[in-house]
Amino acid sequence: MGYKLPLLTERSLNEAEAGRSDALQRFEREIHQHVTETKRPVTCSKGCDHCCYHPVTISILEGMSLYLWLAGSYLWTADRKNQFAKHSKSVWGLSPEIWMLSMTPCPLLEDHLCRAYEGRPAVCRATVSTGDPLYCHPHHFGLDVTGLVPRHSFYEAIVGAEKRLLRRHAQILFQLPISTAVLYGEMVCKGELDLEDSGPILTVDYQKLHAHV
Amino acid sequence: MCGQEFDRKDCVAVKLTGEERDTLRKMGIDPPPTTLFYCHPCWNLLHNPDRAGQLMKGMVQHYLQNTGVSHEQAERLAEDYRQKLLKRAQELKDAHGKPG
Repeated sequence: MGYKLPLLTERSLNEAEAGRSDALQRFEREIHQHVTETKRPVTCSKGCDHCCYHPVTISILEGMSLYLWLAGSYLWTADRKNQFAKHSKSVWGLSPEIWMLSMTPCPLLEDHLCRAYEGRPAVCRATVSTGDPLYCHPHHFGLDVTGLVPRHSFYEAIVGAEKRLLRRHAQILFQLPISTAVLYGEMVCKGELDLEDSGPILTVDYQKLHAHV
Repeated sequence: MCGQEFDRKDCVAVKLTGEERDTLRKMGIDPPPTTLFYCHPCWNLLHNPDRAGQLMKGMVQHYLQNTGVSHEQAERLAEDYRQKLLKRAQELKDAHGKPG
């Protein structure tokens, strides 16, 4: 791809990826512990896409990583970019409950499969069910029987790490819809936007969202 | 719809028709509002007939399940409701060219 990021941005990107990888390794141990304690196996299987309709928000750093993965895998096409723009427009600013109930599919979902499975966000990797998959469906979700493995400590670990990394760039952490994060991530990777300037631009764009149709 | 606080001047205002106000009155909302306000993110969603239908279905289904209706029955009733909404929207569109 030949993109060259500023040294500090590159370093933050790599550290964020390493942090997510560590957090996921710890989470895998938690899954094993959860399965052993509850005696309920993981029920996730290929072709089940209920969680692909859940709201997924990631940081701009993870958006950059996902963009680089998509571009490196020759999956970042004009059509896909349009799909991402459409998705971003329809979900950015929506409350998570409304997003969830509207059954808006992830822009990476095709034929019940994730097009970026190997490069998918950490939060998707940490969505693991040990209950009836029916209760992962957005319209059934929220009942006591939903069997998702608890992931509070995982969230806290990755959010805390990314907050610290973004502070280096004098930025605060914005949790953006996956599509929005990838679109802004592309701008940073292509040198059209400095990571240091992303916060004010995101704030202005968010305000515009509420001021215009 | 989302329950978030927005300045009404930044929202989309939808004026209710006499028929819609009568329906609300029958449901016990008296006096019914003349205008409903939607924030832009919610309005973006309501513009899309597919997503809006799914959202209304999800809300009904969730409500029914929380009140103790079995999930199969709740899903069937909510899907019936979604189909009725789509049918009604199509009728309005055909009659007045009004978007559903």
